[in-house]
Amino acid sequence: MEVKVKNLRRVFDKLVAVDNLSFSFNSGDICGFVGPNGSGKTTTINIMAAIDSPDSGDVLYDGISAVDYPEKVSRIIGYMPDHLPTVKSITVWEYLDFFGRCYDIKAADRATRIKYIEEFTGLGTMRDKQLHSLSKGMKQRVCLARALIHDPEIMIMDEPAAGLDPQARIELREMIKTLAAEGKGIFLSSHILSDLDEICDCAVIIEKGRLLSSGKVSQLIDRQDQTVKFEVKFLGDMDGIIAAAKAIPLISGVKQTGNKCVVIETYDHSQEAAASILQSMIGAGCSITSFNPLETSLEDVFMNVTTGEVQ
Amino acid sequence: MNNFFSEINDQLNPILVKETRQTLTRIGYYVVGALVLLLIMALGAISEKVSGATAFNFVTTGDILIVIFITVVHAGRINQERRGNNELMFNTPMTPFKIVLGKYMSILCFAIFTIALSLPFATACYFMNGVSLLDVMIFIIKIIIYAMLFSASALFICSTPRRKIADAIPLAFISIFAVTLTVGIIENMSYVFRDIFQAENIITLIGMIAYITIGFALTMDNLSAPTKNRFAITKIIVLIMLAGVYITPYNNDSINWVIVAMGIFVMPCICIISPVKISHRMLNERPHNVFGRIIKFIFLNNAYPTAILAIAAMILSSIIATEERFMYGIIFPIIYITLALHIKAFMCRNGREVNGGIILIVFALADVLIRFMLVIFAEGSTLEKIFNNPEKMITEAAVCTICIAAVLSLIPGVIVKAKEYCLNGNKTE
Repeated sequence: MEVKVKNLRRVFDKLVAVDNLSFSFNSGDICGFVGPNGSGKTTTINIMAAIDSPDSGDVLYDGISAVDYPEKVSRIIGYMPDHLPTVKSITVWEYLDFFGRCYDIKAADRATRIKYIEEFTGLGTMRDKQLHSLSKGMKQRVCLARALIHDPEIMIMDEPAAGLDPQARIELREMIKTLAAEGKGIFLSSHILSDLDEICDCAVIIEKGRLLSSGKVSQLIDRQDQTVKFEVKFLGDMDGIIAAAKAIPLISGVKQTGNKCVVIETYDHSQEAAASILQSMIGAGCSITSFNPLETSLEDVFMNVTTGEVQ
Repeated sequence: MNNFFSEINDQLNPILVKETRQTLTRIGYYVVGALVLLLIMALGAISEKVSGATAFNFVTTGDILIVIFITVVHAGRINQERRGNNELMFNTPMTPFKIVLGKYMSILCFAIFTIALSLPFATACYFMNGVSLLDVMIFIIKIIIYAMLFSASALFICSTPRRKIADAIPLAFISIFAVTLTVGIIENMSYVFRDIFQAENIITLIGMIAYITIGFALTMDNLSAPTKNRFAITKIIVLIMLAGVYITPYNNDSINWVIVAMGIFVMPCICIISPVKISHRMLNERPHNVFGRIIKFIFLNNAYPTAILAIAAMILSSIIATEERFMYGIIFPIIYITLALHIKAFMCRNGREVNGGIILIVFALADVLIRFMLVIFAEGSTLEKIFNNPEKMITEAAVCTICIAAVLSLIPGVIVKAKEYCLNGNKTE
């Protein structure tokens, strides 16, 4: 299934929350949705989940419009909000059963589905607990379980890891990977870029409601990454090593990143260039203790393309 | 057999199931049940000193209060659902109708369950003499109808405040008490059920159904306001059922109060809250300078001038109307104008700019037609009789004011269209 967001625009009074936003992803992809606070992520997600309507533009799920056919789209997607809404006097099982009924799942199938989801999300032992008594991590699992109840093809997750401890984040990450391996398309927004970097196939970066960059993560990195970076650790004087590095013609930039650590950049991607730089630095009298190439992360891409301004 | 029960289980409204499960785990309902039983025991203790009729009055009043309490408190939960749950429910194939129906049914179930606790008490009054079996039967039907009426109203009112449940419940209590106590709806109901097969009383029942439907439809509209394209049918239902409201003023004066109650209770709610709320929402983009804002405020969103004209029309029609029929002069313009505003706002929300004045003119014409037909059918009268009908005079007064308001409210729209045409010949915004 292909999900296409086309020229989305949403305005709240004077504020243009989403402005002409377009991107796409497919089933089986994990697509990260990144942007500073107030950049329009939740608005976009609400429109994609057919909870809100755009002022113009559309979201198409294999050609089915979320604006014109919200009921059809609601069966295709599973929406996971960033928190579990307050519901009192209801157990985990009752909550999942309620949403199973909302999706018209027959009693027998519902029981099987709930059991499977409880096992998948690790809620099996929690099924009779009151919803409001659960921890944040467990509530997020219930959110995920609820979104999965009708076995959707596309999952839309709004900050699923917000407020989770490292252990819960790792577990959630694994669940997301498993879902993608099952062929579901995952679209998730998150501020934890290291998590996204690890699991995402593609990413969409927005700021002030506008698209800054989108595509496969490797493409995004390549687009940013015209230089090759090396982390150099050394003994001795910082000024001396920076001066020595700047004197080497192959090196285009030097940044201090630690007390005895610099990052050098070069436009030459060849192995020979790396060897030549290392040789030149040693030849200049630098006591090098480590010389490692650095990979550009999604975080680097994000920091490069965004200005950090909020609306 | 298992399959049969499983099928029934699948067909149950999910909200009804959820609410029932939630309610059964709440202590408050057991407290209410215990209070009802205490009342019964208290009556048992004093039964030797009072007559059956006195005791019966005691139980009917108690039951009405209980029904009000149950419906309002239970309906308050719909306001709670706003905190994220509505979004999740709208993200499922559940329609707003199913959501509100589930809420409505769950309120009714618990109201009826609580009433059932007092039935032995009511039956005991029969054995204490002073009340007939018919009185007891009428009481049962009446209390169920009350539960239906109050549930619809309470749901609508509780779904309206945006902020918190604390705003919704007191508002619903005040509104329902205002209707029951000041308008005397309870007294009228007794009259209606004594002779249910009389034509006017059947008509009153239609009015009640209209009342419930309006409450129901408006609750759906309140709940569904953030989304588009799903709710045209609710407005249509409101209009169709309003036909029931048209019919009743041709009956005796006491029944007319039921209609007055509808006007007092439901219509101002629509008038004040809904159109303004929706109108705000439909103004997605506002001009950035003050002059532009004023122009847009006055001309493009002509719901506001229409609302001002509605008030003018009310004042004018109340002046035209004779003293004893003062209420008719007020109620009908309110009904028409508020519904016109509501429909206008709804259509604008769906991307169709419609002039409120045109809707008003359609209402006024429809009003004349319906009343004309009603007088003929109800009284079998000739044209001469129709023109001598005092009720019709009031209608004319109301219709006149509506027409004046409608024509006046057309002006801003016409100016804007003319301006657009002169400037660029295209539609703006």
